[in-house]
Amino acid sequence: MSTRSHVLGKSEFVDDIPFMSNELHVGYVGSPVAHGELISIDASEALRVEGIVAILSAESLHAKNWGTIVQDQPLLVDKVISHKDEPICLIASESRAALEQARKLVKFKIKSLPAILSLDEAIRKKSYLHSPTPFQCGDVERALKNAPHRHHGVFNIGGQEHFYLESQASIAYPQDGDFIKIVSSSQHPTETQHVVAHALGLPFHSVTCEVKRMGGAFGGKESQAAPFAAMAALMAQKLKRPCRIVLTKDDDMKVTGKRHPFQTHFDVGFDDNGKILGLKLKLYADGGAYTDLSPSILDRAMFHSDGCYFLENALIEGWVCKTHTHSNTAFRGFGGPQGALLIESLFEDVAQHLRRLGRDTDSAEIRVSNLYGKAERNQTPYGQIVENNLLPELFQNLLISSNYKKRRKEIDHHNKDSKAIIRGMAITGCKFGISFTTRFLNQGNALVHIHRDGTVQVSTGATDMGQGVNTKIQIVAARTFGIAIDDVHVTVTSTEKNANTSPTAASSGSDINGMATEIACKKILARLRQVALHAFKEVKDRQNNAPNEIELNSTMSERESSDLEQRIRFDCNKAIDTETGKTMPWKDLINLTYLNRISISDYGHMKTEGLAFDRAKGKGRAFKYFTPGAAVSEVSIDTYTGEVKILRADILMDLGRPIHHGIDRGQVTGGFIQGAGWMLTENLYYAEDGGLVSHSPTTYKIPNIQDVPREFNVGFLENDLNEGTVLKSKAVGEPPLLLSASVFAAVKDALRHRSHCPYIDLKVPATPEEVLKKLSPHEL
Amino acid sequence: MKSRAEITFYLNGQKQVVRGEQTLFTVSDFLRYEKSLTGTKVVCAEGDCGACTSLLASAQSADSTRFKAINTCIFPVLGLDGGHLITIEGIADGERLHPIQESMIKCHGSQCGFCTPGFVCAMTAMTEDFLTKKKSSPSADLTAKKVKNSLTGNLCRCTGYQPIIEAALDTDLTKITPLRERYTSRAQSAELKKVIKIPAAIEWANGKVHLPTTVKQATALKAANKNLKIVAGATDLGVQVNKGRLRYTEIMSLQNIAELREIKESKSKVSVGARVSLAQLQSFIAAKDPELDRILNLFASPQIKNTGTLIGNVVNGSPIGDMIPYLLATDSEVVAASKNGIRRIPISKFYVGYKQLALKPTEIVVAIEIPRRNKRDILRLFKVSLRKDLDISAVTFALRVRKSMKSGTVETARIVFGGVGPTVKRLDHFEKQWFGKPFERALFSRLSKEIQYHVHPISDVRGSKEYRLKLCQNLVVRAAHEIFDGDSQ
Repeated sequence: MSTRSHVLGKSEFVDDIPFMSNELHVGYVGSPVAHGELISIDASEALRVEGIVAILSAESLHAKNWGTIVQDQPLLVDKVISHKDEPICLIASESRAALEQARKLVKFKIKSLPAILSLDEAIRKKSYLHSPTPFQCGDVERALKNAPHRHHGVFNIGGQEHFYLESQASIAYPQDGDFIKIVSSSQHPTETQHVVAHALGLPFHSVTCEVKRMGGAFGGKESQAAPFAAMAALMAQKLKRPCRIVLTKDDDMKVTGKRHPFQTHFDVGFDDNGKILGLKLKLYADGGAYTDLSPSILDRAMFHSDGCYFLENALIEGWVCKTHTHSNTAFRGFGGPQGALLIESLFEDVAQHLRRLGRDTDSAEIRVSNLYGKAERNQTPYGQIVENNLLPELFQNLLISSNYKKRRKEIDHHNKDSKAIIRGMAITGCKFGISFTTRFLNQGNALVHIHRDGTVQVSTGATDMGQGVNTKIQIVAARTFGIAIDDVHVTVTSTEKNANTSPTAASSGSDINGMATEIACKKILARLRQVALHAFKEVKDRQNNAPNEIELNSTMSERESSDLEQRIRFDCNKAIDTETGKTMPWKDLINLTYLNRISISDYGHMKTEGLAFDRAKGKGRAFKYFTPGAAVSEVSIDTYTGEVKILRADILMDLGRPIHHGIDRGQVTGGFIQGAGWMLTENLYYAEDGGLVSHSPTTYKIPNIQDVPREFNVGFLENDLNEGTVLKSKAVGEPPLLLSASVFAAVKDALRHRSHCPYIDLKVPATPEEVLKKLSPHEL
Repeated sequence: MKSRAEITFYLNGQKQVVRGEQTLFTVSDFLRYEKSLTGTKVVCAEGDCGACTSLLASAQSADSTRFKAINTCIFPVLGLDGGHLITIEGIADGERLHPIQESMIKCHGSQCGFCTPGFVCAMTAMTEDFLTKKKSSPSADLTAKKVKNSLTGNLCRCTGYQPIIEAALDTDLTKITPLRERYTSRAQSAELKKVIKIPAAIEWANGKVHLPTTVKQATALKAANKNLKIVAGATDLGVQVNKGRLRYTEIMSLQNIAELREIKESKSKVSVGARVSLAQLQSFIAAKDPELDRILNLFASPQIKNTGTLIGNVVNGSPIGDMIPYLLATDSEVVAASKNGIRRIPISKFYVGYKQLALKPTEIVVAIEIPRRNKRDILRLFKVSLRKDLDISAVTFALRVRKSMKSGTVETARIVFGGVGPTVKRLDHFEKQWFGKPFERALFSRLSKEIQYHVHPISDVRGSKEYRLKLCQNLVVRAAHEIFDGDSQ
């Protein structure tokens, strides 16, 4: 709904807000080492720069640590430095130029300590932050022992920078008394409010956090927006002046967390047809320096290490490792993609193994034979039944619509003759679990106001980062009230209107906030129906001071309410009495309700029903439902340079009954291409001192418009099976990202035609350098 | 002599006169902080993402009312002198959306909205160009390929680009009134053309900007101040300043020297003036040199090519400068001017160390002269990077071989690699070895096998030394396959 202002350049982001005349620029000075002991700070020279107002360190904080799950992360280094560029002190300045100048002049005395800078080293040294109860099912040891074929190894997955276009940004405005108002680019205004209050020693009610929109977030502003807001707020509290912090892209990339790199140790047993008999996994996630959201991210990786395939015998264990890098964090998929990627990669190895034994097989066939079944073979390793399973249809339909078989022949033929270019293709699937695995987060609230002219304002805890959640909420309210979309406005997200909200994350934004909106709207509708019924009964003109005011019947039975619901309908901006055919304009009914002193506002609260996962046992229903999908990707590889190009992608997803096709399709294309970048070119390159070298788009390459497949088909398998969600829709934000595994699998498929390696033990990202390593040398 | 102490340009139809320090601001800062035009976004501050894209028509160009996309985050305000800048705020006609904006809404080409203003501007530049071309060739169509080539300079992290491509293709081009018609007039062009003929010297408490109008003025200024920094398209200098690696207080731009905007052709060579943009160069050579045209397509975005210059790329002297291998392979010469006259420096003698040039402090580069190629010349250019488009190369390779008329043996060989050392490297050893030999596969085979003893790449963010070496070897093999087997890229 902001699209019009977006294309006009009129949408206001944090740093577009005009400066107050007394506003200050805030920045931090980061650590020059990855691990060390901070002995002293010398800010004297920096303070002499004209325009510098204050320099503060950890001592000025009321509470030094923050953290969503464990409060182990210092807002500013107190004694121990745990990663390169970690904020040590803050500078407030009258101008940006002075701030940049002063940042270079602060000196630290530091005792350097040995740093753990790789996942390998962390695993070797058992440097762990967390390890949950493993998931297990069947008897994996026996299954592996008896399996006719086995394959084991290590799979390395690199991290990924969010590269939201709008970097972290917050403004803190000191208000009357000790109150602070924060305007932030945050997916989680409630946590931002809490972290600020905690750091400043204020009760929660003294801090308000407001989020109008974000210029992209992708998880990177779920937990990690809060510390920057706290930095601005600390200066604002001390100096009693508005303070603004806006990171440069380079600083943002250096200091904020990324998608977790993973190392997975696997041992798989399978039969002659490639059916998996047993799978044993050890997942190691690089959490970075602090806990952040890593335990939940590792959980989700473990929950998704089955991909969309049935595992009869499995043991899935996991560890979050501590290293001396930025603290890794949420990123679209939240560990799910790292979990699911392994099994998709494995199927290429399984196919290769069987081919080497002389079997004519294709990884697509093998995947189909391993898919979750409908009535049987439908239980996950953690014991949840996969309900309403459309995976078999998705695979079958997509293999046909993408012309898989014919193209497979063409590709094989091409690869026989071609010197320069080889091609590969693969189908992969996903079934993304929808619900926060932290149960209490599965609740939401919405506030709905109808104004006397019939227009509606809705506010929820949802924050719009481009995914269109506010448009979906607008649609939900408009459909529920039967009014035009333009009559509904979704207002700025603020902790003043919606408190104790959950982050807009886990693809759940529309599910939770849309449902809460629907609940609030329905509460108002129940009252409007009674008013309408009165109005339809009486012919008399009701004026302001009509003698007999309408009274609500508060003792209506369920039956009576349900009958009334059937009778009075709302559509086309009208209330309709289906028995008499009488209608009343929405606007008039609203005004009439108000004049009769009946509330035309309400508040809705929802919780996701039916969740029952027992963390101690590693068993139970962790998700309300799954969003499944499948993708076929075809790639070409330049065998001289290792460069990969995606030639074609076909995607088919089950999104139930989509609320908005255009928005959902955009999530699919966007998620897929974002994932493809992670698979191919997004390479985080660190110097030996642990500092990130690829900290700008010059060196960190997200997909460019030229990287979009020439043929790109997206389809939905529409259905009404998803009961109990908002308008029978399904969450869409993260699942399509997992489908980019098809790009990686296709690269492996291509490489087998020209490689000297028995298995293509390819790393993520499959950069040209990585791909070239697997290719046999050219001869002249 | 007449002089002025300010620059003059138009911004969304309004005349602007800017003096003092503001002339050194980046255009995006000027827009956002001085003009409260916050629709223009800054993300990377290095010309790699296009969020800051606006459109500029400049009086210095042959077609002075043609609006071209530029990256305002690295472009200094002084570069606007004599120009007309249209920002996102000037694209819609009052309340009436530009057809590009309408289709971006319709096709969901905008999600979070942060890259959107830049995309809308780049797409508008695309339609401006297209509508001009359409006049001369009415059957021209806007294809997906053209759309992609127009938008390589814009990054979007939300949409996966597909909806943006669809929006571009869905736009009703017949409904567009070009910016040229909406914003420019003869009187305005005449006024701006007059302005840039007057040399400018803008001074403030601790800085100075010079905009000379003749080479003579420029060399005199350089002679007077040997440290005077010269800015061309600012596509690198702007980045250095934004990232805090450079601060300059006195600067000279050659933008208003008309003769340096020309490409001169003679029988033996093509002379490219110091202020010829890469875009201007590309449109000049497109038909004549498809090999160079192909590399220029990968080399940089439209925004960078519209402001960046060949001379800037040469003087920057990066070991991975994408144009340098080509110039070395073609035996091009650098033309340097000083108060004492003109000096020609073979480009093979121009680089003396990492970013060290064989240029005297009083000299300025005024042109590059590229010898015309013989019909017997074979030229191959290669560029390999992590991402194919708009990425700095890991390795570049240029090869030119001239066969003798009678015997078909090698008369001249130029074998050039970039990204393998502190400067772009010509492999003289092999060039001599090839001389007089029959032109055949064996030469390549030997080069590929022995190259490891002649190049010593380092490992960095763009690739390990092993990878770079392997690329060198493979590119030699590829060149052989292309030349002898007709296996083209």
